[in-house]
Amino acid sequence: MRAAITVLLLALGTTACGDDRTPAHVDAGAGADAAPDAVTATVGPCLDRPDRLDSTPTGQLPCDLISPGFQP
Amino acid sequence: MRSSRVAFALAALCFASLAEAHVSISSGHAQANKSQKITFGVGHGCDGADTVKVRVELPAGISSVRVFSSDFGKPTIEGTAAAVTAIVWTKDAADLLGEDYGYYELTIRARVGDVPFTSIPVKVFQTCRTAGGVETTVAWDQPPGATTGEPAPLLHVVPGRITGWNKYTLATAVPAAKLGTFFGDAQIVWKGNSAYSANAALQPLITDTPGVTALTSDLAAGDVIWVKY
Repeated sequence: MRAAITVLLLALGTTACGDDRTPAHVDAGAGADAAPDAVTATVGPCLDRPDRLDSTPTGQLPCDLISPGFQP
Repeated sequence: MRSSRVAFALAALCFASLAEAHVSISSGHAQANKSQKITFGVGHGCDGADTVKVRVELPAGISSVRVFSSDFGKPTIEGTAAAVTAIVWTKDAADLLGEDYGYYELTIRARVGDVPFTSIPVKVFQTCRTAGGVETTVAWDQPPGATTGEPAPLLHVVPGRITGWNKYTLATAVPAAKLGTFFGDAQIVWKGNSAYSANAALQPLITDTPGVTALTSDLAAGDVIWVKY
């Protein structure tokens, strides 16, 4: 009985957080009416927050901070 | 032994911070060749006594002075309305605090000369009075680096700016040690392919970007720099 409850809880957890390997958006042909907000609400808590990244993705200065006078 | 040295250094740093905190310029950097508000913050009295009078001597290069009234007290001027040389704010005797727990802001509006990347000492004389009526005056009039007396508040002057990129040709040198003073609120500063940022999160990105080096040297008069605010 305890094992069954554990399996059930794990399954619910996986469903709530989605799967990184599953595309977040449903293909238009398969479900064009799927609500984007609903998708975001489902997977949102499991995504990284872009504004909380430690640095830019490349680890280099972003283009908007490169001087107009910079000559590589 | 090492821990005692660290403790001594921290104590010295703490003491220095407190000493500098009595009278300071709380309005931040001034912009060159522009009229603006300049506010003096009085963070402490004198040895537990409340502040009752503050006299600010205006140095050369500060003109077109207008004086704001303050909750602290009414201002009077020395000189003439067209050429103010000093301002005195005096607290009403009935407003004297029994202890030193007040923070006061004293504001003027003035035009600062076209002297970007300089620091102008402004002499301030702070008079305090104990509950028993004993008055003392502290002179905040010493230049940077003086080993005696109290340091005069420094008005750091920067050039006018717009949000985004600004291109400046320096009229005066800026020592590397002053980059943080003058560019602390800039996103990034460039001289050629060298960059400086006071933002600790950007510093590793500067050194990790191909073709870019960290700007750690003095800036000379005539140098062209790009600054993004």
